[in-house]
Amino acid sequence: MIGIKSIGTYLPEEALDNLEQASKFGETEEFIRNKIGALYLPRKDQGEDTSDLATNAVRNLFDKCPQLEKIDIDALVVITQNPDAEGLPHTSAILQHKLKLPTTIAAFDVSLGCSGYVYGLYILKGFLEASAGKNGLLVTSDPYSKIVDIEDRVTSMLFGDAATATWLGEDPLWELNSVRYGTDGSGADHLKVVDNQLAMNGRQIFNFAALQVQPHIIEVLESEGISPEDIDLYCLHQGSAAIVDAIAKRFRDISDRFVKDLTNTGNTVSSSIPLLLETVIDDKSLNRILISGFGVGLSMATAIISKIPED
Amino acid sequence: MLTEQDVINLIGELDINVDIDAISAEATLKSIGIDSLDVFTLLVEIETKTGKKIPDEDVDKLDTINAIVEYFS
Repeated sequence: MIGIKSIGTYLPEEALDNLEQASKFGETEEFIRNKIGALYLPRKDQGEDTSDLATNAVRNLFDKCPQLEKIDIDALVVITQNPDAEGLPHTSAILQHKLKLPTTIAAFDVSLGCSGYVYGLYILKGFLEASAGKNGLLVTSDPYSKIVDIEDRVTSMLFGDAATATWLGEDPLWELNSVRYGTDGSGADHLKVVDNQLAMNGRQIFNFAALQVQPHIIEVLESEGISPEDIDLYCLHQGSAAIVDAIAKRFRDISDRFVKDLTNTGNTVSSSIPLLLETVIDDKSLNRILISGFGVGLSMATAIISKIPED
Repeated sequence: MLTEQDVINLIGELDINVDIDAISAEATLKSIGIDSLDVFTLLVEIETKTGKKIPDEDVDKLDTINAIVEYFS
């Protein structure tokens, strides 16, 4: 059975001070702390590209997992909508070369945003199982600093750059359980790139998250035959503190199980969920985690992962 | 139908420091301490309660409790 074995991460050292940005836009410190939730927004160097962030995340994974040999990796998937250069060639091919991964590897990009990590887990698991592969790397690297206009108050206080690398393989620590997907392209215009710059209808994106994610979570729980209380931790996409709060309050009795941790990262798009998971993956008190990504598309994906009992 | 008390009750459920007993229906939401993201939350709850969608172009008009009540009257 293919599942999650380990997660590597990378956050650039440079970061924007979000309180300084707030001051520029006439917003209060309270607004940044309580509603946006991010005090710092990591920023890649100008000379770095998407594959460089991804390379650092995979190297972090290799450092954590010396038993993972490059020659044993069968597939490499990169989740990004801000690929290297202009998107051709695919970033995963560039990453294969930078990491000196075997040329026998399957490598492809997946164009998804905030729902991309959940999608990617199941894409890669299915791909490996269908092709008798044993090990795959799921990489998220979607630096929005490439498209955010720092003068745009709607988006410039939200997004941070980051990358992650998840090792999927046999004898995992966590198995993938029920999953549900959702797409509503009628809202595609609410978050899009126009003339190389991100444009967001913040209210409509907020409404989508506040209204659609809770029933999606319930649907997944019901498909698994469990109740909200049976989930130890809810790792939702960290769109903003306000979005996480808006969803969590719909689970009033267990709202404290919804992780809110974006102070030093901001909204890192498809990297937000694996950044959370990396901090709890070895926590022995956790047995079942719900993950949910939602955003650009409009797209969402919600799944349950559970710990494999130790022998 | 949405009453002044309905709106005040929904404001009371926002995570903000405000004495809802002292809120004036004529005061702007911003002056009460309701920021732009609180407005998103408030309008989501109002839409859920009334079953009526509020178009983006109407949002700026809904800047006081009175304006909200009148909009739904």
